[in-house]
Amino acid sequence: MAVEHTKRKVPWLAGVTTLLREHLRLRLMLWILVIPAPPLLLTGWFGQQAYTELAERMQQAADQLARQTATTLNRILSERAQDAQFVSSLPAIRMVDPPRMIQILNQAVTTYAPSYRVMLVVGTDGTILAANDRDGRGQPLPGRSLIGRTVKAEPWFASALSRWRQRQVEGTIEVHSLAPDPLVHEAVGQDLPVMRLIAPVWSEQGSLQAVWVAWVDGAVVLDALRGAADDGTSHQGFVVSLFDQDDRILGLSGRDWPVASATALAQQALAEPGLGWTIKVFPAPGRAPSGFPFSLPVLVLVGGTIAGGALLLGGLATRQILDPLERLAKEAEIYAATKRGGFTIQPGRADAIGGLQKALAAMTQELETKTTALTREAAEHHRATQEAQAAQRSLDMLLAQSPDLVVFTQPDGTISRFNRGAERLLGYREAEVFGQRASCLYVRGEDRLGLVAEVQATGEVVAREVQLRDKEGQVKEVSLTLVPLQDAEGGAVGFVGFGKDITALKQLERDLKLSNQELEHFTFSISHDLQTPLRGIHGFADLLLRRAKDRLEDKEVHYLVRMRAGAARMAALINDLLELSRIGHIAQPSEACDMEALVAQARSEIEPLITTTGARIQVERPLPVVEADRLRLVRVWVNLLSNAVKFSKPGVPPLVTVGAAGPQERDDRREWAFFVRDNGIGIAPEYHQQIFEIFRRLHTYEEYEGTGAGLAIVKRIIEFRGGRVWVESQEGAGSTFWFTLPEEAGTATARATDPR
Amino acid sequence: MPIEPIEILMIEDNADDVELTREALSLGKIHNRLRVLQDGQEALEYLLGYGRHKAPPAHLPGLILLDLRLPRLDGIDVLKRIKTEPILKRVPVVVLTTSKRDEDIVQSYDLGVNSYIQKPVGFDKFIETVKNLELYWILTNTQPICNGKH
Repeated sequence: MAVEHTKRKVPWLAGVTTLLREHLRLRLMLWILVIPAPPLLLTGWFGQQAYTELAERMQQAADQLARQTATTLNRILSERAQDAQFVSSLPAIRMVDPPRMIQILNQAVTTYAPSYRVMLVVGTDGTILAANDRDGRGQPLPGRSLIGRTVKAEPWFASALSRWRQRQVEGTIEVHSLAPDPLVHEAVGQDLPVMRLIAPVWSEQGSLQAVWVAWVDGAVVLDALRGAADDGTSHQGFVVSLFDQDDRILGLSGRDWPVASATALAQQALAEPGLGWTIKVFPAPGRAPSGFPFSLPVLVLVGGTIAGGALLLGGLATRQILDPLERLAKEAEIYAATKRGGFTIQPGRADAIGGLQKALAAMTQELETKTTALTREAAEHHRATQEAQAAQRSLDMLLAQSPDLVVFTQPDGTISRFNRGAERLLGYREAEVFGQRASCLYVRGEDRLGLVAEVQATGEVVAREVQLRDKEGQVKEVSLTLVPLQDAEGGAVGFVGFGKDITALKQLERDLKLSNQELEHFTFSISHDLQTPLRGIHGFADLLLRRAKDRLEDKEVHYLVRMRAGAARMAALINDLLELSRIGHIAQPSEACDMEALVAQARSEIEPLITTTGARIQVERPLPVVEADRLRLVRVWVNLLSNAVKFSKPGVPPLVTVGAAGPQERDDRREWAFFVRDNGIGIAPEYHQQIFEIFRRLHTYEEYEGTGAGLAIVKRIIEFRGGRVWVESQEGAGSTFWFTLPEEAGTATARATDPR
Repeated sequence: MPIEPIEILMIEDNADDVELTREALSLGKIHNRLRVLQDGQEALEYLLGYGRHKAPPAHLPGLILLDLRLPRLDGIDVLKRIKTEPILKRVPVVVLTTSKRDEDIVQSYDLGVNSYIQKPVGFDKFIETVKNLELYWILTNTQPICNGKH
């Protein structure tokens, strides 16, 4: 201990010094106690009173301010929404002449925004294109003198332009400082504190095409703030002020307080994202109570008696009131600066301070909720815009990349979009046909009218082959699909046509038709020109045989016989070939054919063969009546029966059975199966397919005569009628040839000509 | 005026066919006179008496054998003209051709042909056909004209 140490050195001096020191300390303490006691006491007492009142008022005021500031905020936001709506409704700048724009701006100012003193439409190069020349009451203003001036050099214009160009955000309104502006002075003829709003005007393609600038009367803004703060006595002692994004003061309620002290005392701030400015609410310095109720001696007496109590109360007040308030102030500062942290709440504290803490905490929370909601809303809007832009880009890319024609038309039939595929196909650039009638692209304009009428009548997509004419006048065959476009309410907003170039395909079709005709002509030539010389060969060989037979040797006679037979066989081959080629493309009408009658007719046609072979033909009756081409069906029976008789085992008389089975369901229709069964030489399974090929023979001509076309003709006729042909056979065990015919092979027309 | 044998007019450009027809007629013991004209134009000129022929023949043929594919004027056109000329329309016309085209057959009947026969390649069949023609059209069938006169 320092005192005991000194005592040991000079005990008495040390004692005196100590006494003096103690005395002095005591006196000092007394002075400290006595002299500041009354003011301290008073300050403590009145301070307690004043702070209690202040705290109550602060609590009420904070409640009300929270509500009113929110109202102000909402109003500003709704105004902003209105502005954004107006800006986005501004027509495409290039389509509107300046007088029309001036009219639009005048209308905007007079109908819903009388506080807007000046409104400009500024080109992206900074040139003023239009300005209102009427104020909110319709009085003329010298605004027109601004047209043609440039604001390119203004820092607010240049910075806003670069921001929008980088961010590409639609509908952003920026609000700038509340101060007089020389441009406004010129436009309205007086110096006014004004708030500047500036917004981009986007084109439909998403490029910035103009800037909308407006100046709002600053008095209106200040009135709104003052209205929020100076609402009677309840807000006495509060200051509501407006700051810009750089924390410069724009406006202040209770204008009698110096700006510097107001700024220093700022305790509350409201920030609205994107708007760029801040509303701050803070208590103004309190007013001293007027008049004093006690005289000085009384005061001293009372002060002396309650000095200790005052100290105690002062300390208590400090701990209970000043400290929490100081903490609140600090927390508010932190919150204002960082938008983070919160306000300490002392649980169980039911007094005014506790109420204030709760109110401030609640206000903060509400602010945060609101800020979060606004941020989310902004993010949502941004995301929706991004998605819409992405969808637009995908659509644009699709249209650009599509090799096919895609043309959008308005309900009045004018072209509104013309993709690259259409440009390539028709040779026009989009700019050349934009706004032109789509029917002008058609070879026959009425084709389009017909298509549109059909789409309107059915409400559905219609596809047609049409002829369009390109820029060079060439006809293009196009397979066109017309789709009606509807808005969300189902109203017609035009059409989109998708077209595929089928010109080459059509040419191929014509070529094919032509080559079919040529083939037809060719077959006729063969039938005439090839058979005529054959007839000569056969005829003269025959004549030679008749006339000179007696003079010729046996061998020579044999040659002539072979020659004549060759000519006859070649004629038969040509005939079969012709018949086969004509089955496919000459359709014969169907008629009701009684199969029993047809079998009988076929049988009579091969009567000589039956007689010579001694064949027996049995028919398993009844056979049905089918719809078919009578002559060709007879040919089928002739070929099958003659084969059955012809390919007999040596020494075994042919026994042929004819019958039918069915009808059976197959592929949604009923069909009959017919068979011709023989006891002949049979066919090895590996040949079951080959025998239906033309001129495919399994035996020499000498063994079994015939051209080898009979089964090919049968197969062609039956398949042309929608049936099938097959064989069931084993070598040496006879064959059964089957063929099917649908019950309803004929058409309605064919049935109408039915002789029954 | 002596009664003349009925004349058969053959309109045919193919010399082989003409010769074979003559042979077939003689082998079939048919002795009608066969007049041959080699193209459609000449046939009409002969029948109607113009061009190289100053006047129509004194006696119309009793039967016309008509090929469809002819030089200058096609058989179908000859048939059309014959069947629309008042003096010629009752003369029986038999189309004797190689074509078996449905269109040719239908068109010939539509124009009023009396018969349509496809020339067989086999000579024996040809003799038979010619003989049948003669039998039917010259001997069996009764015609509205006699000896070329109405």
